Amino acid sequence: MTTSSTRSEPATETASDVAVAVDGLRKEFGQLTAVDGVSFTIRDGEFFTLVGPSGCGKTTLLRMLAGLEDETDGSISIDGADMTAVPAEKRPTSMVFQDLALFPFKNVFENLTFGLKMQGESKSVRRERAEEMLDVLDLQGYADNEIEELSGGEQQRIALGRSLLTEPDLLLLDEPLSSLDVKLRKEMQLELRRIHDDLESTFFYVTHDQEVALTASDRIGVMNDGKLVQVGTPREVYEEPATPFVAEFIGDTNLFEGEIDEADGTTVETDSGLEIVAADRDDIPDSGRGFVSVRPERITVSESSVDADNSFEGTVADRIYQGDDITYEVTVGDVRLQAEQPAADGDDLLARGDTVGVGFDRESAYVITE
Amino acid sequence: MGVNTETGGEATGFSQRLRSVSKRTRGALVALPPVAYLTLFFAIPILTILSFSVRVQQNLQMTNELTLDHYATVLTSETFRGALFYSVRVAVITTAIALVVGLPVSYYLALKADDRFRNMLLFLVIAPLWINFFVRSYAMIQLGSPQGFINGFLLSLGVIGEPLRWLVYSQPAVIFGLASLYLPLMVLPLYAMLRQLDEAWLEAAQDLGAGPLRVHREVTLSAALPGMILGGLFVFLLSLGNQAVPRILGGAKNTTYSESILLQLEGSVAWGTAAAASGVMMAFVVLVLVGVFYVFDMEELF
Repeated sequence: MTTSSTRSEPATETASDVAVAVDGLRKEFGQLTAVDGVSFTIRDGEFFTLVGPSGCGKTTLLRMLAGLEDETDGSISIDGADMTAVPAEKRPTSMVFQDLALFPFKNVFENLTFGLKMQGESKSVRRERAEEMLDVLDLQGYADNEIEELSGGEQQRIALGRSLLTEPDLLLLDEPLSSLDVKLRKEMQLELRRIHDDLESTFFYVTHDQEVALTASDRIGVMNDGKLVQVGTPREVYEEPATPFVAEFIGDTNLFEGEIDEADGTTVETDSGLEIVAADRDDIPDSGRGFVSVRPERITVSESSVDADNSFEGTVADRIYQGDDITYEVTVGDVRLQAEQPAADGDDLLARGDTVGVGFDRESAYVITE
Repeated sequence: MGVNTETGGEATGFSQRLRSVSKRTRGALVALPPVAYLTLFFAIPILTILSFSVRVQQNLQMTNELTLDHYATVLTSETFRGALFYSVRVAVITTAIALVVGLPVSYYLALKADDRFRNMLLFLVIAPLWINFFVRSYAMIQLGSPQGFINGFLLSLGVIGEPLRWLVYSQPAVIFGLASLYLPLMVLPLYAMLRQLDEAWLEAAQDLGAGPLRVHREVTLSAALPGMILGGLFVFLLSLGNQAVPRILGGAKNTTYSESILLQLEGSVAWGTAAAASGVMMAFVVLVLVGVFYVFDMEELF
C-alpha cells in the first residue's frame, strides 16, 4: 500500500525508474494465441498507451497486468516484485473498465471509496478522501448522488476517481472513453492527461483510437496480431514507423511497395511505376524489397508543377472537404495519391478532373524495411 | 381510394373523439376493469370478514350489534398466541432455508449455467409448482417414514442405530415441506436480479481489493437484495398462511394459526372469533410489510 507522501516524492533515478517490466508474456485461449511473446517496460510516472486494432490482444494484455487473466507464459513485475502468484485484489494496480463497471446499487460516495473500504479505512477518512477526489474530478457535492443520475462524462470521472483513490502504482485504462461522443472524448483526453500530471502516477492506457494515443501519451506501443510491433514516443511512431502496419494504423499514409536502390542516394522503384527519392538512413539496405511511406500532409498539390525532390503530374480524382483542410485524391499514372492541404481561400480550390502538379521532398519519404 | 378515405375519416373521427375526452377520464376508463375486479373479489370479502369480527353472533346469524369481544377472545387466548408464535417461527425458518438454498441455485442459473441448458434448468426449478402438492407430500412421507428410504439408508450405513422419528409428522417435516414447495418463489426473483449482474462488477470489486468472499458480499448480495426481499416476502407470507402442509406433514402436537382459525369455523362455528383472528393475522402481515418497506426503500430497490 502506497501512501500519499511517497507518491508525491520525485522518482529517484534508480532501478525503481522502471515501474512495470513485462517479459515474454504469452496468453493462449485454446488454439488461439491472444498475446504472443510481448516484452516491454513502463517507466515510473509515464503515460504509456497501447494501441492496436480490435482483437489484437491489447485488452488481454491489460487484464493480465491487472491479474484478472492468468498468463500462459512469461512474467510481469511491478515495482520490482514478481506478480505471477499475486491475485488481482493484492496487486498495486487498479483498472478503469471499458464500460466503467460502476456499482449501480451503491451511490457515488460508496463507489468512489470502495477500495478504501476494502483497505479498512474508517468512514470519516473515506468521507474526507471522497471529498478531495470529487474536488480533483470537479464533481463537488455529488457524493450522495446515485450513479444513474450522472451523465456519461460524470460517470467516467467517478470510475477514474474510484481507481485513483486506491493510489495504485499502475493505473490501467481499458478504452474508457470509447462510449463518449467525440467532443466529450477530446475533453476527457486532456482531462486524463491533466490528472496524470497532477498525481504523477503511472498510466497504462489501451485503445484502438490512435488519436488518444498521439495526444495524451509519453510513449506508445503498437500491437498487432498478439505481437508488440513498435514502442516509441508519439512522434517516433508517427514519423518513423517500424512496419507498414504501423505506418497505416497511426495516421493516414501513402504506402508503396517496391525495390530499394541505394546506388545514387536512396531511391525506391515502386511496383506501381513511380520512382521515389527517399530520405537517406544508415539502416536501409543497398538493395531488396521495401516500402516507402509518405504522409498526405507532406504532399503539395498545385495548378502548376511542384518544385520538389519528387515531382509528378496528375489528375484530381476526388476532393474531400473537411473544414480545416482538404484532402485531394490525385491519380499519377495508375497510382492514387492522397494529399492533404490546409483549406485557405475557398475560391482557388482545385476541381475534379484538373490537371495538377504534385510533389514532396525526400525527407517526407520514409523507407520501411521489414 | 374512396373506401380508404372513408375508413381514414372514421378513424380520425374516433381518435378525435377519444382525444376530446380528458386525460383524467381516459385514465379512469383504463383503470375501471381491474378496480371492479379487485372490489368484487378482494375488497368486499375482506370487508365482510372484518365486519363479522366486530359484530355479535347469535347462533348461526351475525347481528348488527357491535362488539370487541371477538378480538378480546383472540388476543387473550393462549391457543391463538401459541399458534401465531408457532406459525411465525415455521415461516421464518422456512424463509431462511429457502434463502440459503435459493441463493446459490439462482447464482448458478444466472451466471454460471450454460446458455443451452439455462431454460431447461429454469423449467426444472418451476416444475415442483406443477406437480400436485398432495402427491408430493405423500411421497415425502414415504421417504421420511421410519421404514422409508432415508431411515433405511442411514441405518444401512450405520450412521444411526434406530430410525429417526422426527422426519415426518414434525416441525422439521413441515418446514422442509414448505421450503421445497415455495423454493421457486425465492429462486425466480433472485434469478431475475442476478441476471442483471454484470460480471465486470465482480472483477471491479476484486481489482479494488476485495477477496473472493468479500466480492460476493459486496456485489452479489447487493445485486440480489431486491430479489431477496421480494422472494423472502413471498415465502414468508405464504408459509405463514399455509394450512395444508402442516396438516399433512405436521404432527398432532402443534397447531398453526391458520388451522386454529379453521377450527373456529368448522368446529365451533364461531364466525366472529374466526373473523377476529383473521383480522389479527391481517394486521400482523400489514405490519411486516410496512416494516420491510420502511427499512428498504422500495422505490430504490425496484
